[in-house]
Amino acid sequence: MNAVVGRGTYVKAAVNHGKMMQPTTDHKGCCASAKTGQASCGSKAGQGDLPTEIWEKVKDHPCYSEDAHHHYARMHVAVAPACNIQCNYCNRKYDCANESRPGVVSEKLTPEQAVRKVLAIATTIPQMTVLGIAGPGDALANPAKTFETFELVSKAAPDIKLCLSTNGLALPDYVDTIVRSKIDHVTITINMVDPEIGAKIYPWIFFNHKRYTGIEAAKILTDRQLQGLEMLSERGILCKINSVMIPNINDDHLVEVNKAVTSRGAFLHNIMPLISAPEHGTAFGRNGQRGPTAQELKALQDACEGQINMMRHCRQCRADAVGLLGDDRGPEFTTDQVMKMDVQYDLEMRKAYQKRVENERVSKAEACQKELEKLSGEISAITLLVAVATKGSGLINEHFGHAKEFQMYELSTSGAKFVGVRRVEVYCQGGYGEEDRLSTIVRGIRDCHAVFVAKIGGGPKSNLIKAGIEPVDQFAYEFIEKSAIAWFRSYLDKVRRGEVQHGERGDAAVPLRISAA
Amino acid sequence: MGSAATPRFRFGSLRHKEECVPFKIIASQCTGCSACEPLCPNVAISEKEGSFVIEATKCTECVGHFDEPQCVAACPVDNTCVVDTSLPRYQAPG
Ligand code: SF4
Ligand code: SF4
Ligand code: SF4
Repeated sequence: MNAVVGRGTYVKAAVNHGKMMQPTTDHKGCCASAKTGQASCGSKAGQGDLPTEIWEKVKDHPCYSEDAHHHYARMHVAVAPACNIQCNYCNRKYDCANESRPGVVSEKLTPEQAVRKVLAIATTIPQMTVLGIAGPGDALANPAKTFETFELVSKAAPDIKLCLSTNGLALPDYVDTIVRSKIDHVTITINMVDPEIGAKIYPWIFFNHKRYTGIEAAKILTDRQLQGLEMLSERGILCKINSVMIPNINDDHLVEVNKAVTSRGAFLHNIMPLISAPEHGTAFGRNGQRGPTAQELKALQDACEGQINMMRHCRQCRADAVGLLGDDRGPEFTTDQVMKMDVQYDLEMRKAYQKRVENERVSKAEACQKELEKLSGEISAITLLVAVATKGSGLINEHFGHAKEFQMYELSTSGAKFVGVRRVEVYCQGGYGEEDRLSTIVRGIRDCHAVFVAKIGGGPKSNLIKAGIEPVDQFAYEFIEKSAIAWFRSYLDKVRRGEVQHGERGDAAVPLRISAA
Repeated sequence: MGSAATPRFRFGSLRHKEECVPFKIIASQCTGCSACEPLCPNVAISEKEGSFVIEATKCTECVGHFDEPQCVAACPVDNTCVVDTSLPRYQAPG
């Protein structure tokens, strides 16, 4: 399968990946078509040449479509606390409300509570189109709770798409139940296909009433994962693969994983950086295992990109995050609050909202296309990264100081390509530590040439300039790609006139709270 | 000596079934993940105030059902499902 080029353009289905392999440089750009190398923004707002049945399944799914994640939201309900394996990057002992990393969730719900929560949120936030069960443990290690929740939700709110995440150990046993429950997406976390490597990531698994350890455990796990993936693909269920990149353990090996899952019909591969710190209490945290730098991660994602859609917009959100991806509205919907709400599920209101969003997506794609045409005569080898402060909807609509994350775009003469998201601490909280936080942000995006914001204060502005990052605020509240391409054109002009000396930027730090692009 | 196959797990090996050593869950370490609960062949495990507890009179160390005590094998926190040494037999000398 081919790369995601521009937002939401899944260029080819997995079955075609062999024929469609191309060097990534050939189809960078705002939804450039991989077949022709031509730049295009896709008048259908991102379908590209993805088969219609797959596009229908993913187009409103924020976790699968880069375009949709700007407009639609998913929520997870924490009904599945138990797990059947142990990963060295997970510590299920603590529940930390401040942390955003996999496996961490702040409340445990019964299926009935979960359904009430889903309906309350779907009514308040019409962009909520996807419900996932992803832990804090393993969805399929809690089959009764998982499938009961799905059944209740699909009765009460049939328009909501269902998905689940699993480590894959129990997957082959539940494939038929998944089909019956009308779940159309499954995410499997696969970190290795070589048991020797697996033994360094998984200390044990619990399988067939026994605890297995070491290579034996990893062998069972990888066999079950790949078998489950094959069975789902055969039944037409979309499978996304998550992999955690662990430097010196599975970093190079993930290219193998990428091949193994692509050949078994996976539709998307999401490589996430290990987030590891001693205070997380995980085995990796305690033994000092580091996570990858932004550049290491991007290099690996690029290396895999010719094969399969790489997913770069994952924010490793908390398992019960609510709202548009990255915009964590969980605290508004605690169980107590939800139980008090009077919920009327309004399907018509939701449909009307979604229609508005569709129109917006079309106009955004058109604007991008127009700007791209102006770039068509340019020839330049320059490729650079820019960061964008945005609250979503594909607009530059966030104040630098309020940005909790930056969307990263790679600019070249073939257009603007979304390459990921960087999370940062909120800078503008006033008082103590402000300088510190600012320098953390600057370090976190120091591989960028510019940062696009709706607004920015004088202090941060001069700090950024000192660090060699251009703060750009003249495109406030405009479409991201269109603005980025316009800026890039004038940048090329300046380079040509000798006003600016183009230089490469260094690697960015990926400290604790900044998950990499 | 139990007539059933000798369990591999060390705690159970030399005792009559009726004389089983019950397991207990150390509440301060339990994450409340519930992994153990559905696995117990004797339905001895239930939730109490966010933590899980084993009903001592029901626990048979899984003897006759499985080779390993299921709660121990599935628990993500080491040394959380343990033999209950507060029982009288552990207090008596010899
Ligand atoms: S599968 Fe998920 S919940 Fe289970 S140990 Fe691994 S990260 Fe933790
Ligand atoms: S040892 Fe076996 S019988 Fe006893 S509580 Fe654990 S699972 Fe139940
Ligand atoms: S498996 Fe362990 S941590 Fe989980 S509920 Fe049982 S005793 Fe508690």
